[in-house]
Amino acid sequence: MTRGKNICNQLKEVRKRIAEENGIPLEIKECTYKGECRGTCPRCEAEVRYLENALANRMSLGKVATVAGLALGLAVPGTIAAQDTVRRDEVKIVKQIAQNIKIKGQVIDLTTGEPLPFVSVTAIDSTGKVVIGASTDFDGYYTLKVPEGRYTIRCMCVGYYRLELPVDNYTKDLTLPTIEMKTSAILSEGIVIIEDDPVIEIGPTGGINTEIQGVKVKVQ
Amino acid sequence: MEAVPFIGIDRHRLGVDGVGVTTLAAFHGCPLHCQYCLNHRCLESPDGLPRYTPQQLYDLVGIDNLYFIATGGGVCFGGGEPLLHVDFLTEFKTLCGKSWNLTAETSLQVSREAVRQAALVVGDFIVDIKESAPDTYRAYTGGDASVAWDNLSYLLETVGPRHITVRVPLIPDYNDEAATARTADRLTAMGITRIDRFTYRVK
Repeated sequence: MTRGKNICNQLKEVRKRIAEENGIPLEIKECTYKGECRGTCPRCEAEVRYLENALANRMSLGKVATVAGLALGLAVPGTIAAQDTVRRDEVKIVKQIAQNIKIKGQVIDLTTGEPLPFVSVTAIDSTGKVVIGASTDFDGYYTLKVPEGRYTIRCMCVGYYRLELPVDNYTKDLTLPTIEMKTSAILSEGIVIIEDDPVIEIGPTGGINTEIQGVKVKVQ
Repeated sequence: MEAVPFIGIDRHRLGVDGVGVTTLAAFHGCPLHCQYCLNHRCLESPDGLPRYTPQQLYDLVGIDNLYFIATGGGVCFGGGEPLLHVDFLTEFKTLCGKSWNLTAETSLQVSREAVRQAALVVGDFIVDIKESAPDTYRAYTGGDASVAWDNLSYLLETVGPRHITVRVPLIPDYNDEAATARTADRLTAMGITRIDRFTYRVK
């Protein structure tokens, strides 16, 4: 079996487990792709997007969506433990940054009204530096803990327009209005479209594998 | 933060760069000049290479968010030498949070401060220690072995052995089985428990 096909099969298993665990119908048909398998293809990518949408739909109905650690047993190299990757040092740095006030809120899909999980929400200071970032939970909620100050709140999610709330002076805990994200130009008042291309593609690797140009050796 | 050059991005690496599904992001730039360098591009001019800010890279690799979360994977930063860009790693971690594990493939040929900062945000380290004999190390890499080994001791004290894998290569024309065994013994003596011994195959 080729390396690409092996990757494809393992990713397919991950998708299958996510679907089964969350009661999402997912019919995985036999692959008919004729070209060299690179581990993924448009149909595989479409299945991932389908699962993301199905998970969001599930949560909008008040059901639990389970993803984290579902396929921990897959693709383990045998040299690095899967557990305990978040160390005390890491917590420490978050605590050093996180202080004073909490900015909370929810991100939803503008069209469906469903909560959006995994959205990157960041606070940007006047120099353009990311002060803190967080991902929305399965119900679309986020909390940023920042020092008092002037920030732009930025929201990013694959497949959606990037949004930025106008800069504001944050001096106390507050809950922001619900942020609505969409792939069209229909936006809430006060929100600015930053990018107009929601599709993000990653191209060919261009030289990381052992079979790259200029290789003098091959690592066993 | 300004965008920095990358020599490439490789998705869906399974069991190669740590736990789960990972995306390798390889930085341009390296302090070493290994005789059998696998990625010469990282030592050449960065002209023409793609450049990303932490936010741009985060947006790019986020296409595999579901795979990362389901498998405990994330992003492996390689190169080149990723710890030359430790500010990038720190900002990237604020974006991805705890749901993605970050791994760094490093020679540890960097400042102690860079290692200290990296230890705060990188979950697992894959250390390419090359060799323990200083003369052999210098002949093969052009660098000072003591920098890497001193940093490895510091890293071990800081993050513990569960988060460090050390690669020990048999390098044709530079060392041999006995030399790699000595390197592995030294690592074991200092408390390293994850040692990956392998052989460079010269084409």
